[in-house]
Amino acid sequence: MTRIDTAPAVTSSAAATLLGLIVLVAVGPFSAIALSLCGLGVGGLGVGLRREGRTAVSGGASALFLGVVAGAVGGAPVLVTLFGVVSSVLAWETGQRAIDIGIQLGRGAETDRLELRRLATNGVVGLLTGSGGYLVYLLGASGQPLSALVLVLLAVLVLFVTLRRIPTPTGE
Amino acid sequence: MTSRPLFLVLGLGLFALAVLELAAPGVLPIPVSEGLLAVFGLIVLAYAYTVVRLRRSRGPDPVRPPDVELPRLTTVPGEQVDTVLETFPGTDAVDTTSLSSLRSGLRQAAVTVLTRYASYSEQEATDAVRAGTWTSDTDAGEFLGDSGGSVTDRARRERLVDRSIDAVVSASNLADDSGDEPTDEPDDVEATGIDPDTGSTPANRRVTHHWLGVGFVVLVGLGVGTLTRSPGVLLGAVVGIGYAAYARSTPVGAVDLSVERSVSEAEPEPGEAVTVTLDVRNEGSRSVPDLRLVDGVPESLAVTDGAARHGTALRGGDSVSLSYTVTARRGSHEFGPTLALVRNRPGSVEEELYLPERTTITCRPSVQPVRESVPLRSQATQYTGPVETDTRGTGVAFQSVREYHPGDSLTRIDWNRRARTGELTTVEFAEQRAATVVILVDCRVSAYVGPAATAQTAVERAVSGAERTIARLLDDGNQVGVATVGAADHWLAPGTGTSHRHEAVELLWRIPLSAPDQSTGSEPLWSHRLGRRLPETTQLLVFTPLVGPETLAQLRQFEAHGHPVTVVSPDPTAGTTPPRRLARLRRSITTTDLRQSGIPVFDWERDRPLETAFATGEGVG
Repeated sequence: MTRIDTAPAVTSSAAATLLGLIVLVAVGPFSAIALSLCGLGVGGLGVGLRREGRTAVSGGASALFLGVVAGAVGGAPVLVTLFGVVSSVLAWETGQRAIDIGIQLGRGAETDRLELRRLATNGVVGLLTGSGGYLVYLLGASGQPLSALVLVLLAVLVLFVTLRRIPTPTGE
Repeated sequence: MTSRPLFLVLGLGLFALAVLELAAPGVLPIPVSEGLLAVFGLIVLAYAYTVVRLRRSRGPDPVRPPDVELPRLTTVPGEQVDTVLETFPGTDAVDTTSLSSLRSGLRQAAVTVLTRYASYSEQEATDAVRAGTWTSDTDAGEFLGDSGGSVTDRARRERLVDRSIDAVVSASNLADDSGDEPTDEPDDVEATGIDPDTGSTPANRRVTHHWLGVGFVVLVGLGVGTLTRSPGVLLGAVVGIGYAAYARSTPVGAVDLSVERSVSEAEPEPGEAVTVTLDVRNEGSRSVPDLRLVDGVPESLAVTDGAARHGTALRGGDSVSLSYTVTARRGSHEFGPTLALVRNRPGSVEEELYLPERTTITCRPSVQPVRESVPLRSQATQYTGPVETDTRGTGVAFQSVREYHPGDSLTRIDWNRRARTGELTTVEFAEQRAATVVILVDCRVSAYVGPAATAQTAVERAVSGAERTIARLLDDGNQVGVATVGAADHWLAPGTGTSHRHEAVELLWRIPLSAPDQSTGSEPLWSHRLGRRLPETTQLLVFTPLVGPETLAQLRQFEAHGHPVTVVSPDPTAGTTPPRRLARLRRSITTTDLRQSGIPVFDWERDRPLETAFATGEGVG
């Protein structure tokens, strides 16, 4: 005769925290700032996923991402950085979904298949974009003029703004 | 939105220029410098901050399905202090926002209690309340007395009101169980089921904002990457753009789901566990990547084992099955449609679907007559029955002994006395006659209350009690009729026989077990209508929680018009909070007043069988 337990789904919570730990181990060694930011990030994820703490999860994942950025500035290889960015985005997304599933279905419901499928799909998306970017980097990284770099950056920014203005298609 | 093509053209143009610059460096007159790059990086980082703010203000807020696992929740008497205070004799409308109004209501309650239970006169009680000498709680005494000043602090005021209520309750010396364990009650429950009539169309789609905020990765990547010239960080921005585009990539396709529900027992006994199995099949050829199911458990039933929810991904043609257990309770329980929340692959759009499937569980207990004899008032018909009269005659209860007259039956001679003294005497028995009884069930809106959120309502208990009482009374040879007041306005004239019994049970079955939305307009007139219907020399056996308005006056009126009244009262009160204790006290006052008017009241405590109330209940206190 009790309400369902709306705590975040177990599998996704564990996966998000694990991803956070992996990022910590991967980029932590490259700088002290990276290590402390990642530690903060894993802590935020852990706290947020104990009880519907959406802000703590977002904050934790942001700290994780900033830790990766700090690691890259501190000398982490491009591949490690890319892996760290993909993992922290996945940790954020998976944590958010753990909370959503907790609210809508609760811990008592069978949700493993849903959680694992989503994690796998989103992981593949990160893998594809990450490896695409890395390929471009390998092909034309060095010796380009600064002016071209500025133009590329501006183009990316403007295209990103355009993307943000596209409403999510609901199919209606 | 109209600026979108402009932005797109600008972006692509810039990209083309970049390619041109790569092919032939120095062709374009661009004032490139480290300073310009730094400014660019900082602007982008400032933009990143706005994304974070947007996420915080418009972040995901998923649909919260109804609490289908919970049974319908019962209201406990005493939710509001003012509504309880208003029922005290001599109290006008109470306004909780006004301190003086609240205070005068509480003073009146204190006076009522002191005159009833502490042998004060009206004047003495008023004086004692004004002086604050009526209670040992000096704070409460002062608060209600003349010396009580204004209290502006809200929390302090609430505390003082609670203290005063408890002082009033303890002054009655009635309920010493004021410290009932506070129960864990679910709050903010909006619905405990899905309305069976909810349709599936039109499809309700919404953006979940699940990916809102991924732009942070893009902008921080660009900003920091520009400032530090770190290729890894710049490429991180590409990953972010990839996810942002992915979130906008696929809409929810047309979904074709079918659902089939089966129950292990469609007509269970109360308390029986019923297993519900739900099969959901994806009839379409396309896969449903994110499917969340919440079954439409009847609002009146509680899920006691397993989960009525499921989350999965379902390929075309595949099906998923879930099963859970509900505990049956009296009534007809209709399942609602299954709620399916379907998301697109990235999870950025959610569609709410209601999959119709009609299933009903009917729980109709077999009627067991009450094992104790029903306490009736002595008003009898000419037929033989269970009511003992003052008249001598044939019966079973000893009445008197008289001198033997020739012709007396040999079985009635007191042979013990003959052996002892040699006298020949005859034993007389009290004559037993049948009674005409009308069972009145109170199902006014006020009676749909119970001692806890998950407890049975007084109406539910009254109906089952009435059913069993009728069976016993008919077994004992009485004429029994049935009347209801409130949600249903039924009438069955007194009678006997098998078909009559069947009719009475049918009538009780038709009483709704959930409170109607509004009280029926004719409610105040019920006593007049019933008064006209009642045959002469009929007594009333009333099942009422004694919390409704005017109950006392109406019952007294029946008594005065020659219809002896007996009250059986399922206790709906709880002592978990001060206002609830006040409501309990109010009911005790009604009980005392009824008993003082000579109307027996059988208090039927929660979780006790009706027999206990009949056997141990002090009819007249």
